[in-house]
Amino acid sequence: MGLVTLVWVGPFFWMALGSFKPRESIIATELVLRFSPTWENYNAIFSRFAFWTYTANSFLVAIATTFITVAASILAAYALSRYRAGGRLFEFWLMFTRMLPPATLLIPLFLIFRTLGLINTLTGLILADASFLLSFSVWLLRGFFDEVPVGLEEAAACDGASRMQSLFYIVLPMAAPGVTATVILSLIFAWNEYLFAIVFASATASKTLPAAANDFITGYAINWGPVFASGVIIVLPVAAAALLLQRYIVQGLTLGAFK
Amino acid sequence: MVLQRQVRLIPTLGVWIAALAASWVAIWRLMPPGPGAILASGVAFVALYVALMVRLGDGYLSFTLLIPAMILLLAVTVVPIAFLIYLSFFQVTILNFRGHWPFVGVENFIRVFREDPLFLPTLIRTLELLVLGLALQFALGLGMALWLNRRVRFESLLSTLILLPMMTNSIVVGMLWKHLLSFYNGLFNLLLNLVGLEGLPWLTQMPIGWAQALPALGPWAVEHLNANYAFLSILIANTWQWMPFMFLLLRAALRSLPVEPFEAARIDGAGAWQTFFFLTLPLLKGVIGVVLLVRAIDILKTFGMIWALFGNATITRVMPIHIYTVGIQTQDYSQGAVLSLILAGVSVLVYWAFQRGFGRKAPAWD
Repeated sequence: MGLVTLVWVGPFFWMALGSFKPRESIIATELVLRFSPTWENYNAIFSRFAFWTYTANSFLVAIATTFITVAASILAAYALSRYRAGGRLFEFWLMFTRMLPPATLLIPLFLIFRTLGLINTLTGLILADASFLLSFSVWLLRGFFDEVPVGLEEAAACDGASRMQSLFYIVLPMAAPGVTATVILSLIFAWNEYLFAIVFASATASKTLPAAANDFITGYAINWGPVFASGVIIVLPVAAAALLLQRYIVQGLTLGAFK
Repeated sequence: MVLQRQVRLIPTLGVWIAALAASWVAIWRLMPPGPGAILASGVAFVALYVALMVRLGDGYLSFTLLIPAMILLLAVTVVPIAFLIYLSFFQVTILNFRGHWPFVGVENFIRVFREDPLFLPTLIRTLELLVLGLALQFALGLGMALWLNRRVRFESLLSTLILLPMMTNSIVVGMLWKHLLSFYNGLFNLLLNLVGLEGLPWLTQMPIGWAQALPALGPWAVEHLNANYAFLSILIANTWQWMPFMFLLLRAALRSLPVEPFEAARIDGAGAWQTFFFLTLPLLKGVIGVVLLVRAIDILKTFGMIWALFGNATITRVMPIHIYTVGIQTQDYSQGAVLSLILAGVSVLVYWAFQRGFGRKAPAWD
């Protein structure tokens, strides 16, 4: 298994290595394993391009999207879990938006956002990301809420707690690992979102990291050093999250698929 | 009783909706369109929503709790889909967007089939990626799950590392593979050279040699079914990224299978293949249906990875890239709307087929 893992980790290792290689070593036509490491690629992307802005934008989009989605879906998931609320139409629509390729809504959203003055701002991007993540996080949270015993809430109701109190003081703390998993996964998805980002927020002031990274490869000559460096910056937070919070991520993914 | 309660909700809700509408109209009248107005609308909504929740208390939670999600879905999916359908029956491009929109009926649909030479090859390529990608990822994932079924040391760490590609931005995956498969100094060809073989023309539209050499079928496959290195590269990258997902979920499912049927089969003298085909596979049917559906839906969404590898090159275009090119870059909105509707239709069909085939409810996966 260790050897097999290499197949998936190797390319990342190669990329990380490449980001510290000087230009000559990258374009060499033989396997270069010995080189003098340099920060020049990182210096290049942060000084010649607005990478601090892009990084800040990416973080902002991920956090705001997650906040909106998780807030709306905690409420909705509680209603679905405890009241079987919403009816068939609501459930159908959640399912439908989960299957729908985001590309299909690109054109109408672009035209609507342009009319509302949201193109090249982060607001439109956040709204679009949030509603595409909504169905995923509603279903995930609903599964976690279902596992919290109703008896606890009945006991709380006897002691005079309202339903909202029992949601915030009993169900949420009990389902904390599930909520954490949902938050982490939606942070990762929003951080990685690309298609909406290049259409709704492609100006320098509103660009996110993936869109900026792609700018390096669409040209005729690819400058691999900065490409690798920006790749490392995009992967690093996700890899850190994956290693530190692996339990939640695996749980979220497995439950997300099977519930 | 239930009906009475719902009837009593109507006046309160009516007043609330009127208040929300009034505040939003006021905001958009007073403020210039843009993020500020959206933020103000959001604040107004939250304030009114809290007020509604306080006013109604526990009484109507089964409805009021859904309001934020409903508004978000309504604004960002229902309205755009209605608009999409509307666009597809009119002729709207960048040229007349602010002017008159002529009604053309189904002419846009006919135009896509008749006048868009890229449409059919793109659709075929998308479906081909779906079928081949699914088959490859499933076969390899299941094989690996069966092979590595026993527990090993550092298992959770290794599982996390294996998850890394699917957590990674598809653009980064695309650039990684663009470099690994580079013709003149990519890792793949360097390794091939190292063992004394010729490098292969990955990422190019060169036909795959052995496929072309197939009698009769070969040239046809090269012409119509993307038997070229570019498509093969996409398949490899997609499989690399997503096979671990299949592997982890199938392994989890294998481990949760009951032991008794397998003991019974062993006692009855069933061979390994018999056990696999008549016991393991049927027991896994539900799970297999779910993971296949999840992957199928996801392959139909593929954009970033191919975009990073090839941009909108016509030979590797899949439906999402075609929609982006026609609708956003060329700004032929109606034509793009028709393509979008076709892709949405394909997704629904795939979903429906899996529902029928495997009879499971859909998974909660984006």
